[in-house]
Amino acid sequence: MKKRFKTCAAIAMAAITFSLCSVPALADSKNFVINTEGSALPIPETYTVTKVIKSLDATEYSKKLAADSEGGESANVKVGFNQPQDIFIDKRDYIYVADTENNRVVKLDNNGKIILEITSAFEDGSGNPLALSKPRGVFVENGETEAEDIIWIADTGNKRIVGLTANGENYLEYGKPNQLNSARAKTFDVEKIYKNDKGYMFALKGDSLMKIDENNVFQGMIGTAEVEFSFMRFVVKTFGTQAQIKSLEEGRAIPYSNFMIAKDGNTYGVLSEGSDQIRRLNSTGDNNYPSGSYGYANYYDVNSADPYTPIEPRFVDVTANERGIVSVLCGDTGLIYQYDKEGNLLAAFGGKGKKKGTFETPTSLALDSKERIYVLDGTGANIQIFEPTQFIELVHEAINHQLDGEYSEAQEKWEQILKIDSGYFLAHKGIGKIQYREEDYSAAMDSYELAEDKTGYSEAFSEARHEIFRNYFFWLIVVIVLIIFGIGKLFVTIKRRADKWAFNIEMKGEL
Amino acid sequence: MKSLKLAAVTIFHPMVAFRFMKRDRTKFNYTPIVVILLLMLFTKIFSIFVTHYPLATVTTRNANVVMECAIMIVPIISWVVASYAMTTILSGEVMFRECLLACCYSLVPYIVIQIPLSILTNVMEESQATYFNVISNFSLLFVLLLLFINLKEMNNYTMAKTFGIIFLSLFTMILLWASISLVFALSMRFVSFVSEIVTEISFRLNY
Repeated sequence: MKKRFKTCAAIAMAAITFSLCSVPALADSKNFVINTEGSALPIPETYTVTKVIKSLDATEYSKKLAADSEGGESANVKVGFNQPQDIFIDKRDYIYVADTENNRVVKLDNNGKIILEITSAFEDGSGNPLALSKPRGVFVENGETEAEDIIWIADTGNKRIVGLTANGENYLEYGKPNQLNSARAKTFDVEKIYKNDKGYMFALKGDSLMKIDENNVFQGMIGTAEVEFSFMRFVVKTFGTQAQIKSLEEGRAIPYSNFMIAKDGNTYGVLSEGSDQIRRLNSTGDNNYPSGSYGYANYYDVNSADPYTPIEPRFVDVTANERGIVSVLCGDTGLIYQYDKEGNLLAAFGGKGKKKGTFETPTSLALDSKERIYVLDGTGANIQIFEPTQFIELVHEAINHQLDGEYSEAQEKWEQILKIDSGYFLAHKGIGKIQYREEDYSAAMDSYELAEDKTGYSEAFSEARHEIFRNYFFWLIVVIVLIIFGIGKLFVTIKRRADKWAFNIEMKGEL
Repeated sequence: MKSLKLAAVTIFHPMVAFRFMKRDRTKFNYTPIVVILLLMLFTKIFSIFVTHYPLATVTTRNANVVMECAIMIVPIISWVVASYAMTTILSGEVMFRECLLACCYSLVPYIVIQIPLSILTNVMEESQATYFNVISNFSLLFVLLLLFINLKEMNNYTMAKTFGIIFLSLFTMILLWASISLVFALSMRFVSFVSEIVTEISFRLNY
């Protein structure tokens, strides 16, 4: 009996140690990548929520307001968000949120303490301060010192862009840009704004980005999305009468849902539907991000009742770091996808829900200087801060090494990643690339096959084939000629025999 | 041996071969049917395992052999059943087994072309997929052509009538599968109903 107890205890101990040892909690992880067939495959956890900012700390700011105002009256600063639509993080890691339904913009530190609240800017016709109305975008231009920062707000309800200093004082007001043609001016709804380092202000405008210079002069549209080919339109245009062609509604490109200008100088935009939703515009406004059906998958939630639900993403926001790693946020599913420069999926995480790490209606995301991802939830009225795990940090390091041409370091990192997750496609692909570069083609082929990368495999294979050809050219030619000759001979023989047999059948009725 | 000869004649002189199959009906033999169907399955499995990775539509890791075999065999059998059903009511001249035999012989080009082709893919890469697809589709086209010829020759149909029969057979196939799935769905309902009653009763008896 006693002995039995001992073995039981030993087994229990072993079980506990084993469960503690299984470091990458693959079973618990809802993070995934998508393979070439569009199925989601689990990967280790990539980002974890370390902090949730839900209720803001306004005590200090209220006190300051009370001290500033002459009568000493206490100001009423709301401590909760109401359908916030945009988040921006400046170079000093301050958080700015366009708190849309509260008609304000707040500046927070990363503990949720309010540093500045902007509720009005400039004057209306009669000289009273004009309150912000449903602001949907915010951008901050960092100066040399904190006092020189300028906060730009897309005051959507008032159809204007306002700039304020770090103390909340008026700086500059943009109305409708000058020299804008009437058709475009009619619908000047400014939603999302960004300013590049050359001083041009960009505003989201349907299927393109509007460029406005510092004197509020319209400077053109950039990054216009292509109009999708429609067969019906083609038929009508080719065969229709003049009247029919006229009645045809204008082909519309898919509109942008958000954009940002990254530190690498590229403008990243996301379209609201279709494939090729991620766009990277260079300085001349051309899209140079590889095309692909980003975010589409067949499956993502093991625990859901219908795990094979196809995901048709509708991206609502995008953010990119200075190395070109793009994170996009899908509004419908609450998933965050992270892609590298070449459009390879690093990870997808998040989801819909009320738990930590999931969102109700996520509206915006931003990166801080430590590569943490801040996600703003509209209905959930909170900010969740995602800290990268060791796994995804390794992936980023490997990618950066590879971009810098430090292949041996990159290989080392990829191998470490494979120790954590032996099926991680990108690691196999990265190793394959390095092996290809080192002319180790058969190893590269194996790696590419594990990475499910047919194009890469084919490239390595054709090199390997070329090598064999070069070495055994003469013998190969001999063998090929013999084979072709043999097959031809066989064909002719069988054909002759078959002719004879067919003749027998026809003439004698016998085979 | 005779079957092999007949297979060769089917490829080069299909009309002669199919007429002979009908004329030779007294010496009917089931062996070629079984052999060809088995070879057909072998070809499928062989091509899954041997086709070069960049050209393969099904990767070896994800392949479901039973499923792939079913995808091969089920359409053939249902085509035979449907076309036989049509020919019996529309002045056909064949028996079911002859129809089956002729269909099996029609599949020979697929076997003859696919096996060497999947070996050949091992020196091809992704950009040469067009050649692979052309040859692969050629074998399928060949099979379809032979199916058409056997229907026409063995029943002494005119061209127009053959097309009509093919159309009707396809319709019958759809009908066949619709009714099978309907029966399946309904019987599943019935089974679940009975099993629920059994659980209910056993629950009542126990507590």
